[in-house]
Amino acid sequence: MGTAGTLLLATLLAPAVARADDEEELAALLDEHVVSGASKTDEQAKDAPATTSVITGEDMHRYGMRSIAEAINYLGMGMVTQDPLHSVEIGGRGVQLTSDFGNHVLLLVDGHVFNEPWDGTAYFEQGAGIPLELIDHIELILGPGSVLYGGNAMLGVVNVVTKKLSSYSGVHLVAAGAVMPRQGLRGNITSVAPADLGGTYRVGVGVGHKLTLFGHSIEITGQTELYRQDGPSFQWPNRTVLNEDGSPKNYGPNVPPGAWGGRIAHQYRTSIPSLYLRAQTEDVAVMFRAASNRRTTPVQGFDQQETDFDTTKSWERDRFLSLDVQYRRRIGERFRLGVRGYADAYDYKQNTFSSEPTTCAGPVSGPCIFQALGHARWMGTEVQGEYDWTGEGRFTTLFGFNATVRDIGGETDAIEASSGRIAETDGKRDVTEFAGAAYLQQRLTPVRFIHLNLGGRFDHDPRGGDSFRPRGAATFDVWSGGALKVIYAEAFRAPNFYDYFFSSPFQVPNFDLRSETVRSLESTIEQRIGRHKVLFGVYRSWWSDMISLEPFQGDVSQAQNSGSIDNLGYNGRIEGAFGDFRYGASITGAYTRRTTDEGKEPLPAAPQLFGNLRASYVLGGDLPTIAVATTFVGKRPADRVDGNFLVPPYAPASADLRITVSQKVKWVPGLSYRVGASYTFGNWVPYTAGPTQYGYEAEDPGRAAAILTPTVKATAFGTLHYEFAP
Amino acid sequence: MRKLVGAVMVTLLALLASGHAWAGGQVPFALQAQLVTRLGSFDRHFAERAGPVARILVVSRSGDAGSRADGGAFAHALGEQHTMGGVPIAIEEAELADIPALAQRVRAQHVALVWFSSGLADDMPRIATAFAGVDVLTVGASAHHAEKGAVVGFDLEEARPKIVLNLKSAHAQTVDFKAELLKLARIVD
Repeated sequence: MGTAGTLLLATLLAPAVARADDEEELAALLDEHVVSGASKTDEQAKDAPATTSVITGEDMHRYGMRSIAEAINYLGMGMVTQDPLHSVEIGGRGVQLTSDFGNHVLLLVDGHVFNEPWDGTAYFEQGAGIPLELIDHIELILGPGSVLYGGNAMLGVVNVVTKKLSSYSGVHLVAAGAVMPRQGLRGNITSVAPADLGGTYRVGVGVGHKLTLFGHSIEITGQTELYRQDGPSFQWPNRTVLNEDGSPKNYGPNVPPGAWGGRIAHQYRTSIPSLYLRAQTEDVAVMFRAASNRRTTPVQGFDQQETDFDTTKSWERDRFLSLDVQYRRRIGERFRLGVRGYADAYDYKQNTFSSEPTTCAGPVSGPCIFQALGHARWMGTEVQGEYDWTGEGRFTTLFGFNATVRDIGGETDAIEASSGRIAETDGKRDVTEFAGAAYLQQRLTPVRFIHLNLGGRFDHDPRGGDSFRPRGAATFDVWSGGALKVIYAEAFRAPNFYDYFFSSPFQVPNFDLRSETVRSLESTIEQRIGRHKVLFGVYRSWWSDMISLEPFQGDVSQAQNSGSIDNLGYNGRIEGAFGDFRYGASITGAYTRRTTDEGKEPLPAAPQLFGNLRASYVLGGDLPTIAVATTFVGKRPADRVDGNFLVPPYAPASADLRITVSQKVKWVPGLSYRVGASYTFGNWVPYTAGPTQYGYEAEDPGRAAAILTPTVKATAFGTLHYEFAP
Repeated sequence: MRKLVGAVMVTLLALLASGHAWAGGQVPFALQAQLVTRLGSFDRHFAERAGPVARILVVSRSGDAGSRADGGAFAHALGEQHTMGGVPIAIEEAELADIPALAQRVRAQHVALVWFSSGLADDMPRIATAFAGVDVLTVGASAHHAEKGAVVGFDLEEARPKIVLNLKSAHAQTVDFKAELLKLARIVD
């Protein structure tokens, strides 16, 4: 082609190239995440005073996510969950604590704290009781976050924001189901026959409606649903177990005396009915939720090691009721004031049935039931003000006060199963407490390319004592599309009621417990190139006064401030889109050591390498969207790696692969579906199970290998969602 | 102590009662300003309407301090953009006192774009009626603005900004958007 030809071609193509550039640039701006959790202000994620990642409701649907926990693993960065066939454990950036029940991660839903004060529990699997179709997006805010949120936010904050009416109008009918094949001794799949399948189902009804009351427009969104799960069935290795006097231990009618093991077909069940409602006017928002989470677990762990084998008589149940009312006004040009009132009720019951009378704390005839009971009721108010000194959002002061009154109690009972007689009650206690806090945050942008955020919060907690936790963050827009961030933050967790007061024949309380604390320093660099974003960061954190259950006297243990954790690592993320093709990946690496009286050691069960990789494509026309996602986790020691097992137990590296197809059904307006399947490469999670889960004495001649908890190997699932305007 | 708590509560209630609604959950103004200036490339008549300098009028609600503050913050953010659709911009701020007078001013001064601040969403139907036949791009701070008559509004969906387009108003104000924008936006009637 000659010069003239080249010029002609360039002339013809120039407008098209310019148009494509404009479109690309606009699409990139529309891909910018706006977050609110890190500073309680709507701001671009790159400016937020924390490393955040956003999981959208659309991506959760597209990639076949069935819980918040799965979304964190497949779509998030820096946090990870592991499923011990019980409530999932959540960790972040190399730190994860066993039997934590979400204590070190603050779960916020529309600004309401979901962690309860009895045991600090927040659930991240279906037990969270948040209908997935209502989730607009989830912000994963990594690192200490006590500066605005107080206790629990040590690993980070999971901030769930539900949909507005504009995204959830009309009536919604949801039906979802899944099947999982039966698994064998090595965690492998042994049968896919219909009669051997385990399964789940979820049915829900939602509504989004606008109504006018006394001249005010009220937008209502909500969904109620029932989730149920039964199986899959697992095979456990056989163990011989004797009582202290040498007699065979009785694990119930499903196994011979002195034997434990075989197939569990009935002891992995969950039932979660839930309701989540939100009403919003221009300046008032009201949230109400009710949820119950009843479950049995096949691992015979989590204090249920004394239960009968494959019984449905052993179970746990949490119930939640929450009400949150927020009222916000603007006073003058520059001052904003908000008042929030909240009230919650929670109770917990663990029912452990054992045919072996000697496991009972008191004298009984025949089988015994161990019951752990807990309850909490709390209410409080938060007043928050924000003053914009320049009127341009460049110099803004946020301050707030929070006061909570809470009544918390619990006890453990040993009950004679045949008569219902309480043989012994331990640790019965009920306390009424006041907790208060004040916080201050200053955001300033002295020049266009520097964003600073400085703050601190003082907390008074009757159990953890007084605590002041600061945070400082600076973001520099170093060049076009590039942002460099440096963050220092601290957080704490006051001992919860369970840590502080819990008492049973095997545990004594400790009234000298102090709050756990963490300090963290991190830096990230983020670059946007069109619709593509790359982030890389490094972090270091120091954890002190960590509370764990330690041997006290004989078989009795006690919660103690017994260790510290030193942790450093990196996290990275890449995400973007080429037209209708979207992709994303993240990786987190960590080096974590726990220091106890016995020296330094790796943190059990905590993944030091994990991440994910995903891609999806909208085929368009009458064709569906196809999405493939993987998540992986490296080798990690089991929770009881120091239990004198014949071989120290480790869970090998594993990866999950999930393929999902989704589409709006063209010939039925309002109907959409998604179907998919997942498979796990790797058979174990790092949690010991069974009657010997706590390990052996070093000199015990009968020592055996640890029994690890299997992963759920494969799942096929589907969801139908029908929405219509009545 | 009780007296102090009582006094604080009374003061708080008095403050809240005296204030204006605060919507929250809006697209931050810095991002909104970037989006607004990109719209020029997708409006087929923008260059012709703007001429050598695109006049942009930022309108807030008269007597509403919050609306005025938002208008000021947006004008400041917009000022950092310098151009729209390749045309230099000139920004003016105004308070809405009289809708027909505003329409007259827009016509007379060849204003290319009017941005309506918070507190004006409920006025948009009357504004849209007055602006029918006026060659101007009207943009509102929120999705409600577009739902009620502004040609363009902004919403936050799944933590990302969303452009909301009212094609009826666009047609009435001779705004003709390219298909590429329609593909990226949410369309309302």
